Amino acid sequence: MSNMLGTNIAIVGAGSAGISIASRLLRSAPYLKGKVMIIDPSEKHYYQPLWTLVGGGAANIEDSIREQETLIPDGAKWVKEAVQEFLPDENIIVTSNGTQIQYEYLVVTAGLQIYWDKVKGLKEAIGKNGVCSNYSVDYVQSTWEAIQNFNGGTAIFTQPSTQVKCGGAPQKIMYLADDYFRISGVRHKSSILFACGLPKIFAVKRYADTLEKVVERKNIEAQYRIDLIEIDGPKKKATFKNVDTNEILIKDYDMIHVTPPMGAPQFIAQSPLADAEGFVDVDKFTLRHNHFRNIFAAGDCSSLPTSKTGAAIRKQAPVVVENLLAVMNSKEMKAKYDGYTSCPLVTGYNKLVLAEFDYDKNPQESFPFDQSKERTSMYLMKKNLLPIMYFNGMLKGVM
Amino acid sequence: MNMTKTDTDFDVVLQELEKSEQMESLFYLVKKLPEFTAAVQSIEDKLSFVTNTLNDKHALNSLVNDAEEKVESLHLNKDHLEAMVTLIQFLPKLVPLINKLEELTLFVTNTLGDSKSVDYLIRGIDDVIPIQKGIEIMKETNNRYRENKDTGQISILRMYRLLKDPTIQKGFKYFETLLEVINKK
Repeated sequence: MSNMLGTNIAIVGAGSAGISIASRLLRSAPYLKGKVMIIDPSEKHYYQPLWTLVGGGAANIEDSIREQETLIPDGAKWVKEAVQEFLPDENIIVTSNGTQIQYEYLVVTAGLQIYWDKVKGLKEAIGKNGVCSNYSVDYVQSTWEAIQNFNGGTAIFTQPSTQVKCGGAPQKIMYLADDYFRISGVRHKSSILFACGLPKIFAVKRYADTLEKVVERKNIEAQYRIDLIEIDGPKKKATFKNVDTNEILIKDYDMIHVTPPMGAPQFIAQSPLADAEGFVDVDKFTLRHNHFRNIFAAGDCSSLPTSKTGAAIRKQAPVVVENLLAVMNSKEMKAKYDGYTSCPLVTGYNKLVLAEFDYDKNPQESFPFDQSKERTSMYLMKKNLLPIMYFNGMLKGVM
Repeated sequence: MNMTKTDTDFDVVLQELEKSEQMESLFYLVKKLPEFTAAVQSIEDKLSFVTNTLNDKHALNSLVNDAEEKVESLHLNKDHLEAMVTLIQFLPKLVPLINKLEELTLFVTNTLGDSKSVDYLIRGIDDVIPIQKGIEIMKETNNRYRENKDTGQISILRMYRLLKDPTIQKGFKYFETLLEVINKK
């Protein structure tokens, strides 16, 4: 017989968005203690923005990992199961263990799913023969190994045309690798290719201008509108397809960093909560579901048309909490999310461009100086301060 | 035959009552009557309690005296009351600031209470300012100086050799630049 649980507020996913929202809810409305349930099977919590630096040998993987139980806020119940199905008409979610959870309000914060299998041969090749990726705790250290073992030749860095976690991340590791190749004395006998599925280097012109100069200065070749579709690990060949013309390109490599295709988690894409692209269909300002009035979503699994980053979640979480409490108390929803997102674009060891912008791609910079310039201060902030702000501020619902 | 106004009204009421929705409403009212009666009784009881209390001058005097004693013990005067009014006026501005302060306090408390974060922070500071390296240099210098048995004088030649040390060279170059800037200003 299946297990049946009940809660006032169910939060699906204990990542950045899920934990932040749970903490904020319990801080804003202490009467909800014991009435918030977080559903997530993962025992570990990862601060993934640090993985760029881990892959570049500038940070330790251990500093990005915490036990999930230390981050679940007091007053929230943690159900260590994976959600499999949403039954929004009945206010029920079903887990893979068969547990049915009845809720009054639902917040979906399940993140993005990585589709490793959408690149033929990638699963078999990853982690060896110079094939690496920063997008998994299991492989991120293989990036640093591949960079260190690179003795010249062709290094390829890919970015798919799909949505990815932090749109700037695929090129950050490339800039670090370029710096390291210069330090290790192999850059003069190497070529670097940025193989990108998107039409340009960055969506916001102000920062794209700076990045184009960085690419030029570093003598990196950039090819746009091509997607990696196949990888042959033993033969060290990568096959790309032009997104517009379907033309096939095969390139030899000595090292390749793969940013795998990503998309909405399957259990969301197949549910009544999803929009045409599979993401949770929410109003882009209130973050409430467009059809189910007791459902909200935030973070990477939501349909919000902005770059999917932790910084975006930091601004989305207060909006979800304020509007959810308003709905629960039969009040008008007043909080609005303006699409703010931020991408700390590492352009080398000790250099960073801090991009911050909104839905309209208008810069929304926090500091009183030109953030489109490469700065050491911003690099130090990303490396040394942001992880602390994340674990002790954002996840505790105070930042 | 002419009907009187009362007869007409009565008929209208009867016609209304014959409608199914009116019948349903009446049925609902009759069914709920015990609950309504209980509710009315409860209100009556509470009103009765309030009336009795207001009539009980002894109890009221005792309550008022008790409250006055407590207020007197606070030694509040007109200045305090005016200050309270001013404070209340400021509250809409103060509350957001207090919220921010509380958040900042919690952030600092959380960080200091989290050994992993403190460790990370210290390592981060060390990246920027190599405190540990500095301490090691000072320690080794002190140890070597204590153990140094050299009693010979520093000759011009030794000073010349020292001047060629890259650290001293850098220091001189910095000083040279500083002098240039001072002269220009």
